[in-house]
Amino acid sequence: MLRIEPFGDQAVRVIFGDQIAPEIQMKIKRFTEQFDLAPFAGFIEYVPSYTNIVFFYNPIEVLRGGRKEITAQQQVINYLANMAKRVSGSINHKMERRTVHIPVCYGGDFGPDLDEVAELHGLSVREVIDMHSAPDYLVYMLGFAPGFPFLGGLSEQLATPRRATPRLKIAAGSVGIAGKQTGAYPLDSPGGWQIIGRTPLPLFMPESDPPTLLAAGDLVKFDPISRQEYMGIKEGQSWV
Amino acid sequence: MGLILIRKGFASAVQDLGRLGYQKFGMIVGGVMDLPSAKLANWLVGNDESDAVIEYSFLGPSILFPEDALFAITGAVCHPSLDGQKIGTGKPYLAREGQILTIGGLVSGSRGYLAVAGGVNTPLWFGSRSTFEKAGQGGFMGRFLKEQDRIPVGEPSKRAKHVMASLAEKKSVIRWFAAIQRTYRDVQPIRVIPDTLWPRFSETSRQVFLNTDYQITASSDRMGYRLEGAGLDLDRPIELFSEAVTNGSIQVPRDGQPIILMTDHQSTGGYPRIAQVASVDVPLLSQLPPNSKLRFQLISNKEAEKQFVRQVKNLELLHNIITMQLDRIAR
Repeated sequence: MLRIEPFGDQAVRVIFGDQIAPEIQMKIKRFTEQFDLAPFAGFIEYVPSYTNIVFFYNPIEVLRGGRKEITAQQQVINYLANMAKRVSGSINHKMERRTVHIPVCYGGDFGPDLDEVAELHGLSVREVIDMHSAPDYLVYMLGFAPGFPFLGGLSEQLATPRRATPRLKIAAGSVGIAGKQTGAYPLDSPGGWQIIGRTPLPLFMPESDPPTLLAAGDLVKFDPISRQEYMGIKEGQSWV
Repeated sequence: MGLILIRKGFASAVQDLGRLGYQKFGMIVGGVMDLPSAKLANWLVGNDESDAVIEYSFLGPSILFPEDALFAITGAVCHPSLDGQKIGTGKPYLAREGQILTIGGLVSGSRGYLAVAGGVNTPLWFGSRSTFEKAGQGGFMGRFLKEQDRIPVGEPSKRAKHVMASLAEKKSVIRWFAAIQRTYRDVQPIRVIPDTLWPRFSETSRQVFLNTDYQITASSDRMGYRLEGAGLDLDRPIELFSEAVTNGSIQVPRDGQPIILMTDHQSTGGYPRIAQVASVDVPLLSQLPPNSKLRFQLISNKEAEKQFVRQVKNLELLHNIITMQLDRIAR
């Protein structure tokens, strides 16, 4: 059942469940799509995550357009509750998901932890690459850094704890594993993920709108490439 | 038009009211820490409140004006001078071509604002001029300011031009100044709204959170204030997933020492939150330097909204008075 809770005095959280599941992500996506068609006056932005969506608003603007005797927050809660009724009543059309192919050059200095990950799980390097590049990963949310995807769908067999000592600099494009999560770094940053490869595609594109390769609800497929192919793409040959 | 940095001060950067609408892509909102003070600086020079200003922390920059410019300083208390002549804050000044403004150390409060008529005119990036330093984007070349930087300034508003002309002909003297009243105390009361996880914190944690002081540590910045005080813990561990957080969210990581998220916080976080600082107290909090002591007080969502609305209404009143005063000078 859907729950709506205040979050501070200028935001409201709509909660769709309490676990990480593709069905919940789908409900969240459907809700945001409906909301985009009819945002309320004073709405600033929403931020979807694994199980909920936070709606930020400007209380002054909400009060300007609405009733004065109830708080802006209560008006926003009422609005979202009504929308929830409409969304759950609408026909559940099949959701179209976009699949984004991300080429990855595994191992070598692009993936310094690949050998260790393989060894830890008693797998060959080839098997790790095959297992990592097989699934269609679901982008549950973006956060932590611009364009950083929180992906679901990593094989349990590849789950690997973070490195005991985080690296001071992980290069942008690095693909890694941390616990049951896998993802790719959009920017050079410090981090403790096990780095197994690198993509030549930018995940953060400051000149584009939206500025990110991925969006919540997308599917991601990692395609293994050679170092030569990596260099080719990096130098501007297109990736098909 | 432009400004030339002679001394960079500390953490001086171009900021506006923040980059809204892109948190779902993992972008930060950022922008000025103390919104009312930045708006005030803009109003004083006839700008839109959303125009970009220069924010500095603890130590202000020194700036050379290559051309005549109307400027104002707000926020933290300081003792600025223009070509060695002491000047005040909270009012517009006309700098003549070649003059040097020295802001110097901040005496009380920790963030100051310099607005110039026409606004800092660096390129807009996703609707904002705020500096997103970690991504190297926005503001002035995506970074903090340094010596020799030449910061572009936009065209002053008609009102500002009239004020400049009047001050240049010495037709008027400005005897007033505008300030946002802030009462700093040895132990600063900060109002907080309990988070939905509040009841999941241990009875002792909830008690000490409200009845003991927390100190802002030196490892605090625009991303967040790390506090030191009585440790906090949950009754029993809960599995939490990353979700949206906001300014004033009080997170409790495993070591039990709370962190208050400030304007450059990441869009999402996965630590349990005990409470949320009421929006009305965020500007004051943003002015508190390291070592300040805080005492949290509970407030309801409803009361917090009411207090915030009142704060905004008072600021609107101040804005109207300033506009009237500027028009009087311009006449």
